[in-house]
Amino acid sequence: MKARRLAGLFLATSSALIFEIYLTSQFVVSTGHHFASIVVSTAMLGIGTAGVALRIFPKLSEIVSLSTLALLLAASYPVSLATAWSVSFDPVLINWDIRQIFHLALYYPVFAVPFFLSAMLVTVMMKESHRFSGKIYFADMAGAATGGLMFFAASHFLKAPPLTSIFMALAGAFFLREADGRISARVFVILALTLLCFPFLELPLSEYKDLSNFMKFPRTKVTASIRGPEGRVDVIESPFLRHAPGLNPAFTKPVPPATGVFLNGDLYSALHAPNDDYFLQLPASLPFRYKKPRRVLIIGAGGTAEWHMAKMASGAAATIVEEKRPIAEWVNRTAKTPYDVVNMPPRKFFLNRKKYDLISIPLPAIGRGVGTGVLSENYFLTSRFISLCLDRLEEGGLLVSTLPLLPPPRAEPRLLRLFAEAVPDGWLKTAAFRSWGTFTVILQPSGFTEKQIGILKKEADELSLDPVWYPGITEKETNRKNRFSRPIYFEAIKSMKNGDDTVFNTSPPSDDSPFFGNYLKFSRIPETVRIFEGRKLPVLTGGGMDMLIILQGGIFAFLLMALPLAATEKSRPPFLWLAYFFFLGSGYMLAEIVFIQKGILVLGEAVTSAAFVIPLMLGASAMGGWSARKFSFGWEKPASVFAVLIAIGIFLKTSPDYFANGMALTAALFLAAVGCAGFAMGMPYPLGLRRAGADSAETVPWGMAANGFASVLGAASAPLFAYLIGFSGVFFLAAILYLAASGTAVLLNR
Amino acid sequence: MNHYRIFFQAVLAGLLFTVAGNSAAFADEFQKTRRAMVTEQIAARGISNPKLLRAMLKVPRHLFVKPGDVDKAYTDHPLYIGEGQTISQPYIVALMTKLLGLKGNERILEIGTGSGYQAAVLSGLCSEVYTIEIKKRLYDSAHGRLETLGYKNVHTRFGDGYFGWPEKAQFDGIIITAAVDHIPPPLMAQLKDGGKLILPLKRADLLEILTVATKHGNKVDVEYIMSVLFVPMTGKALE
Repeated sequence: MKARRLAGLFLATSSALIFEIYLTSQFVVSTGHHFASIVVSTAMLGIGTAGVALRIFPKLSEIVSLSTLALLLAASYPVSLATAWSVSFDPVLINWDIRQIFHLALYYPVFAVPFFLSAMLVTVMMKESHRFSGKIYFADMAGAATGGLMFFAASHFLKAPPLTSIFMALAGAFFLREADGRISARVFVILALTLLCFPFLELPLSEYKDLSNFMKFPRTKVTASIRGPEGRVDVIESPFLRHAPGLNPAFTKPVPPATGVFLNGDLYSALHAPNDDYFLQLPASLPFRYKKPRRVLIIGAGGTAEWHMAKMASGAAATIVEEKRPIAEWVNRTAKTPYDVVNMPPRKFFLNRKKYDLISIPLPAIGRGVGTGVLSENYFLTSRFISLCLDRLEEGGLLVSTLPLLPPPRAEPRLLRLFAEAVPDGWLKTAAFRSWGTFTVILQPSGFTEKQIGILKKEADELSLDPVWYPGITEKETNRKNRFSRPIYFEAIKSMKNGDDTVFNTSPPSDDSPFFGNYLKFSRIPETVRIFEGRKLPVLTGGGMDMLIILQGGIFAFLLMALPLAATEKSRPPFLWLAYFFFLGSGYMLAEIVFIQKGILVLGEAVTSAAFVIPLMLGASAMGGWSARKFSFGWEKPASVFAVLIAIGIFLKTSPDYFANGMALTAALFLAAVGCAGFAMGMPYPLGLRRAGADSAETVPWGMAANGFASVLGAASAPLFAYLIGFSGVFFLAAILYLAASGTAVLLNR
Repeated sequence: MNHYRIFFQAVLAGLLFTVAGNSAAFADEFQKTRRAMVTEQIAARGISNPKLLRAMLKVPRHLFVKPGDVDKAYTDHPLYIGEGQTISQPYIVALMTKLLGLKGNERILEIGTGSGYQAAVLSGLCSEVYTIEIKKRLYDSAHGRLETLGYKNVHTRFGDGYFGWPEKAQFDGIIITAAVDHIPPPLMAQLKDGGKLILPLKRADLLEILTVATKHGNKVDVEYIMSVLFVPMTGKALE
């Protein structure tokens, strides 16, 4: 095996991983959080298809040279992005255009092409030189790990990840060229193509995102627009930015002008000019008016209005802690008010042991996901986070949060329950009020006296709020100022308190299953559809979309995987190998996704977690694959992965307070666990390929395909499994899949 | 020469009669469709105020839509009118008008003229209608249309409706057609005591809740009426 070939593969794989992460970030910006999993699915689909193609058309590897494949790979990046422009899938359009589901399906072939080509490279090399599967696997995984790291560098410094991908693939083509190969003319063609596609290198923002809507107004201008690995931040000035959710309708003075800070196209923070009257007329000011706090902590820079409330109500010292670096930076830079946002994950911030008499988790920190309900994690609204907040409260302090009102009641009762169940006798220590458009929950762990309830009611009355819950409330008191035809919120809370089997899931989310926005109960889907009068979007974004993605990915995967089975019995690949590689692929992907999720808690933030976990895991797997050269195929390797995963799973499960020992030590322990798992998981795959290749070279591509397809399902279904059994459960499931692979290996060795 | 003149005049007259005949046939056809719209889409959904139904029957909705959409003018759907805006579904227009509880002598402010259809319906049910449109093209076309059709008690203005029309305040009722996350304070200030403000509450999931806010001195009562799907007619939705 020539080193030059391995270098070419390394570069090509790096380019593919940069593109994959870039696509994920693009999906988050252009459509939404939950569509990012499509990228993983399409990538794996492409990888799997390459294996199937080579299994069905073995001569393919002779027709197309490796350097041509790398050149095509470089070309495919801009072409697939440009094609995506024309596919134009937008989740919002699903409401009135069912064809959007087919547009979504079209993303699979469009985005699978680059990954198909990169996988063709590795599969051809594996097929031709399966004796060197360890080395090839090493180059492949090391390339992927490097690509993961390079994405962050490319985003930060070069600001052009797709161009980096193109140049890396071209460099790969250079290394992969045959002795007599000439690629200069073709390189020129690719570069010309890249220039043509240059305007399409960034997917367009959905027409229905906040930013797109604001930009339609006259005299609206973007004053700053920053793209980085954490996402896209835009700052706009507009006379039409009038963000005052649930403002007291009796308030007749002007709303102060605001600067808007948008994260990935959604309004994250409206920075209002100071105004004495305005802030204390917002429904979120109720706890501030009631408590008159002295020291306030606000979770997220979306809470700048709360910062003003703290100042206006009682001159309190207010601290905003924001985990997203660009947001913290731009709020500090743009705002005319000295908010001095602290850029730190709140859980890490809690290590300073300071106490507050009011902690607020304001609306934008919770995000739009709450409103529309998606299977995207939210670690601010989990039982664990709430209990961490409570630890930082002074005696008699308050924990508060405000949500948008989204009838039928689902997120709002869930928030109340999350707060109430965080302390003993919590229902006696919580109160909830709703305005015309918002829902505010207050938890006072020391409980309410009658006098305090009286003060709350009086302040609520001045803000035109309706009580929904407080100890001793009666139905007559509810639904008076902001009237529904029935007191639906009171009824929903009563029913939830009574333990009735409600239509929506209102159980408090945990760190292990942090899906606050997902309210679907799978057993009650028909009723849910009926409640929404057949409207698709609330059902799809409440968790249905994730099922759709799994279904689509699954159908594609199974169809393609089954293709070689249609071959004649003589050339039909052995089923056991399919099972072996399927178990490995799905197990690997499930474990990887759990590590990324757990990394959010340990390392502080999703992007940081991905930046550490993906390259480390792939790099460790590369090392595992390399060291596997010395071993032979058998049941022991997958069984040892099972043992390693079980041990790590127990560590993750039994050490929920990740920051108890300080961040550095915990992070080091966590990363060591990721490295160990990655190393162990890197062995069974190349060993299997080597052995399968020795039996029949034709089995290698199909084995790789099965592995890729299993990863499609693993990536797409991990959040769904986590919703049902928690991330710890998913991790143990990954371990069990490796155990199944071990059992299959026993059968294969017979 | 005279022969030619007579010939051309005859051809011209013939053409005019043909056009007039066609228009008359069109108008009749629309009257029938309009009656069906009122009966099947509005009265059938429980709106029975005879004055309101008459007003809906009288306004030629097909003249408020884009020329290419004339055949769809009386269907049970909103229609795109340009500049990212729609003419509301007939039932929603009727419902919003009904919620104002008009007696005939009111002064109503509408925020978001759009095509001018809602203002035209209101015109027959109250004394004065004031309507403000922020999009210049829509304003120009609605202003011209309302003037041509002779809606004398409808007053149009180009500008930002958020601040209302202070010179003409106070109003007995205000209709806002765009979704908002709060009730604009300037509009509440321009509403008479006992007056009603009809507006869609903006939500994060594209469903809007049609609400009625009634002013009682310093207090405001809000009533949620129904949720409607907000269809932002922009970009790809137009396809």
